[in-house]
Amino acid sequence: MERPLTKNIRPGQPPLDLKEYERAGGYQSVKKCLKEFQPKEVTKIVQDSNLKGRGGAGFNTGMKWSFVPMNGDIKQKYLVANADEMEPGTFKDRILLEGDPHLLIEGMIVSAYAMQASTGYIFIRGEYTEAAEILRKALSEAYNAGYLGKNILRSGFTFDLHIHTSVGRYMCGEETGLLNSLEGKRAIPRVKPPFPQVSGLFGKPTIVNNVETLCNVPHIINNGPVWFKNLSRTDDGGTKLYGVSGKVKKPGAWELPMGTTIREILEEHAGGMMDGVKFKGVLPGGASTDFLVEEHLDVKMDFTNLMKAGSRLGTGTMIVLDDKTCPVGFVHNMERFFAQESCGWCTPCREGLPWVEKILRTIDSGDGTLEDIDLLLFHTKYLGPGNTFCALAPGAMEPLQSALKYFMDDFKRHITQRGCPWRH
Amino acid sequence: MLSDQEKTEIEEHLKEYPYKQAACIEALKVVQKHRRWVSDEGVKDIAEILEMTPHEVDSVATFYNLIYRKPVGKHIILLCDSVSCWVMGYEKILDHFKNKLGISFGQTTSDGRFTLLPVPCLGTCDHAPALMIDNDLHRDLKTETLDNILEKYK
Amino acid sequence: MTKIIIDGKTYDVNPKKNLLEICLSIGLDLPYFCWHPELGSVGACRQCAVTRYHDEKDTE
Repeated sequence: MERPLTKNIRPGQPPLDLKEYERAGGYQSVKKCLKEFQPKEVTKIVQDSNLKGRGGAGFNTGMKWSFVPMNGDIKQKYLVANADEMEPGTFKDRILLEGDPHLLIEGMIVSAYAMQASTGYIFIRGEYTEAAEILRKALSEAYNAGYLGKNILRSGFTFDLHIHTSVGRYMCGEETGLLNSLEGKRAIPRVKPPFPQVSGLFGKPTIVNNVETLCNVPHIINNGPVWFKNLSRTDDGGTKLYGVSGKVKKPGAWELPMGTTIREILEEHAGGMMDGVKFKGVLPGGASTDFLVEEHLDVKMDFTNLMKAGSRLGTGTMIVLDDKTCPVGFVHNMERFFAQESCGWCTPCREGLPWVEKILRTIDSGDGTLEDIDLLLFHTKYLGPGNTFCALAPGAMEPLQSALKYFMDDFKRHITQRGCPWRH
Repeated sequence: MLSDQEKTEIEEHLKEYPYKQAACIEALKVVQKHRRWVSDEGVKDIAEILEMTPHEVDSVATFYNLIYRKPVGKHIILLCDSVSCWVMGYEKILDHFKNKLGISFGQTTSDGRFTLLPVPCLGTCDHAPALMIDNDLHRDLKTETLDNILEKYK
Repeated sequence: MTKIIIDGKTYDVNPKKNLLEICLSIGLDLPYFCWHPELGSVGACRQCAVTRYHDEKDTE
C-alpha cells in the first residue's frame, strides 16, 4: 500500500537532505503549481480530494482555504503550520517533523500559493528541539535552492517562511490562541467570527493548518484528488498517521488507509494488549475524545464513523485503558492537565476545570460521596460546547462524560469502598 | 541592561515580525538563554527594547510554562506527567528523583545542579515514560538507568 | 426600529445595539460582569451568554 506521508522516513537515520529529497520526487508539486495551475485551481484540487484537517477538527481543508479573500488589493496574507503538538497521547506530528522536514516545507509553499500568502510561520513547540534544528537546516537548504524567498523559480510568487519555537502552553494549539501567541501575547482565544481567514495574524487573512494536513498537499497535487480519495477505505480521503500508546505490546505509529478499524490498529499493528492485562477502553484521538469500549472495536477510524459511535477521530493517536489501570486515576490525570492548561479567560473553564480535578482527586483518594458524581455530571453539561469561549473545556469533558457512562461502577466502587480498588 | 549579544539576537528576531511587540516571546527566550531565568530586571530590559510596559511583558512571561520567573538550577529536568506516561509509570521515575536527588516537582537540588519540573505530554507516548534534560529527550525510561542519564549532566 | 418579545411583552428596539445593552436599558435585571458600553463585548465571564434557537420549534 502507498504511504505518501512516511515513504521518505528512515527510522534511526537523519532525514533526507534537499538533494536526496528532490531525487525522491520532492518539490515536483511546487514546480507543477507554479507552471500549470492558478491559485484557485489548487484550492479546488485540494477541496475535491476531501482532505480533512488532521489537527482534530476535521474540516475540509480546501473549503477552509476558499474562505480566504482572493481579490488583488489584499497584499499581506499568512500561512501558519500548527506544530504545537501537545494533546496528551499525541505524537504523530513529531514523526513527520523529525523524519521528513522538506515535505512540510513543500506542502506549505503549495498551500501558500493557493491562498497567495507571502509570509509563513512554522509554530513549533519549544520542547521539539531536535525537530526545530532539523527544520532550520531544511529551511536554509530550501532558500538556497530558490524554493523560498522572492520570485520562487522565477514565477513571480514570493513566500518567506520563518520558524517560531513556542514556550509551552496547550492553548497555543488552538488556532486563535496560536495567533495571539505569534503576536507576542498571552495565548487566549479570539471570538469567531471574524474567522482567521478574514482577520487573523496581525488582522490579515490567515490560514492555520496542522502539520499532517500540510504534508498531504504535495501528493494531492502530484497525483490528483481521485488518487487521494482511493487511498482511503471510506469517504474521508487519504491515509492517516495512526498511533497507539498504553499497555500494548508494540506502541507506535503507522501510516494506514483512512478508515482502518480500531481492532486492526490495536491487534495487527500494536500487537494487542500486553500479557496479563485486558482491553477495557480507548480514547481514539487523544485526551479530548470520548472513550470507546469493546463493542466499538470494529468501528472504522475516520471522522464520520467515530462520530456515529459517539466519539471523535481527533488526532488519531489512541490511548488505551487496560483492566488493571484505574479509570478514575486515568481521567483525573487528564483533568489535571486540562485544569492547568486552561488559559483563564472565561469563567466556566477557569473555575470549573479545577473544581472537576478536585472532585476526582477526592474520589480517587477514597473520600468521595455519591453527590460528587452528580457534580461531575453537572460540569459535563455546563462546560459543554457553546458554553465556553473555546473548545478546551468541552474537550476536557469528553473523556469525563464517557468515563461516567462506561465506567460508572468503578467510580461508585471508589466511593463505597472508600479507596482505589486498584491500589495495592 | 541588555548585553550586546542579547540586543543583537533580539534585533535579528525583530526582522521576522511586522511589529516590535510580536517579538516579545522571542526576546524572553533570548534573555533566558543568557541568564538562565527571567528576573524583574530582565522583564524591564525587554520592555525597553520592545517599547512595551514591564507589566505587559510580565503578563506574557508568566503565562508560559517554559519561561522561568524564578531562579533555576544548572540543568532543567522536565518529566512528563500526562496520561500515557502515567499509565506507563512516570510516578516511579519521580519517586527515584525524590530518593536520589532529594527533590520533587518545582524544587532545585541544594547544589544547584538540577531543577525538576513537570511538563505536559512530550509527544513521544509510544516510548513512555519520557523526560527532557535541557534540550535532550530521554525516553523508554527505567529507574535502573536513570542515574547513568543524570551522570552526563555535571 | 425592530420588535422583540421578552417574557410576553413586545418592545420597539434599535437593531444596531446589542441584546444585553437593550435589555438593561429597558430596565431588566440581567446578570453581566465583563461588558462595558465603551469597551464592547468580551465574552469572558459567560454570565450574559444566551442560547440562540432557530425558531419556536428548535430545542437545541
